[in-house]
Amino acid sequence: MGISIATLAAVLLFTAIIVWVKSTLADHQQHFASGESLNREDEIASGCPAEFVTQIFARNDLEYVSGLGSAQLKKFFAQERKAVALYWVQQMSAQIRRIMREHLQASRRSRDLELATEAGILLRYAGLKCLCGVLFFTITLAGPQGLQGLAARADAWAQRIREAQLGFQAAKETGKIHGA
Amino acid sequence: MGASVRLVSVQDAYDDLLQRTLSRIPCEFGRLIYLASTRDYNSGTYHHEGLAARFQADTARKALEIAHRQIFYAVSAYSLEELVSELEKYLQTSRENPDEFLRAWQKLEPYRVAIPLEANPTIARLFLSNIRLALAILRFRRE
Repeated sequence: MGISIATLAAVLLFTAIIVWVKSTLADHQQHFASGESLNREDEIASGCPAEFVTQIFARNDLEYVSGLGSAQLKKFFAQERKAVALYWVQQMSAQIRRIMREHLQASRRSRDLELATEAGILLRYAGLKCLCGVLFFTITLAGPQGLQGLAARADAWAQRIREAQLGFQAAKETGKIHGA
Repeated sequence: MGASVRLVSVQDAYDDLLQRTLSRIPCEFGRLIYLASTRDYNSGTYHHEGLAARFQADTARKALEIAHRQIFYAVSAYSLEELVSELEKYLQTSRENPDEFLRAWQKLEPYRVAIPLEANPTIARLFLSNIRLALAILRFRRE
């Protein structure tokens, strides 16, 4: 019994990893195909606005479609909303990864690093990556409805990392001006 | 000083666009499609003859761009039920055969051109997904 649960968990984990890797690769290909690249500052400052995140994960659209009484429409809705929710998780995850990469590069060159601030940012980043993994896995298995709270939390954490990076950049710029 | 004059001018052009042109289109979705149609497919720049004549071409372009982005975000924020109702109004005003309209829109996906150039990618995806769903719902209702 214990072994079969462990096997099941291992299979689920393996499936989630495969889905994650495939979708990340697809995302990269689409990124180049669509020429999606925002201005760097815009990208740091803006994620998807919170009202849209709420809309993606809300139940009201599902209730409306369920009320139409078509199993086919309901299935189509579930597929569509799941795809949008997974895309949002990927976008947020990729954006935060880029921000952290830039932050680490800038930190290496910086002479007045605050260890506590850096540790805080790193912890927040690790927490957000875990949360993205949980969201991705749960959406893949059960769809996005009912995950509004978790999505809002991930969105808020991502926003804090963006703000921290903007603050870091502003401090660097001020340092340059004073140093000049 | 120059920047504030320019801002006022864009605001004037925007108000003019709302009052003279957009207010005559009966639904928000129709306004979105209209604004997207003022954008050149090749260059992505906006052009409106009347607006450019009253204001400068550059000012008119900026006003069209702002209006397009605002209406796009407003339509993207609609619930599915609201979007179905908007699409139905648009379908009625188009005076096309509803079945042919729905078939063409599902196959050709012309609504893709309604997305502004700098739209947030997740919102753009949500918009496309909601339109696909709204079309499927309208078709289901007609069967």
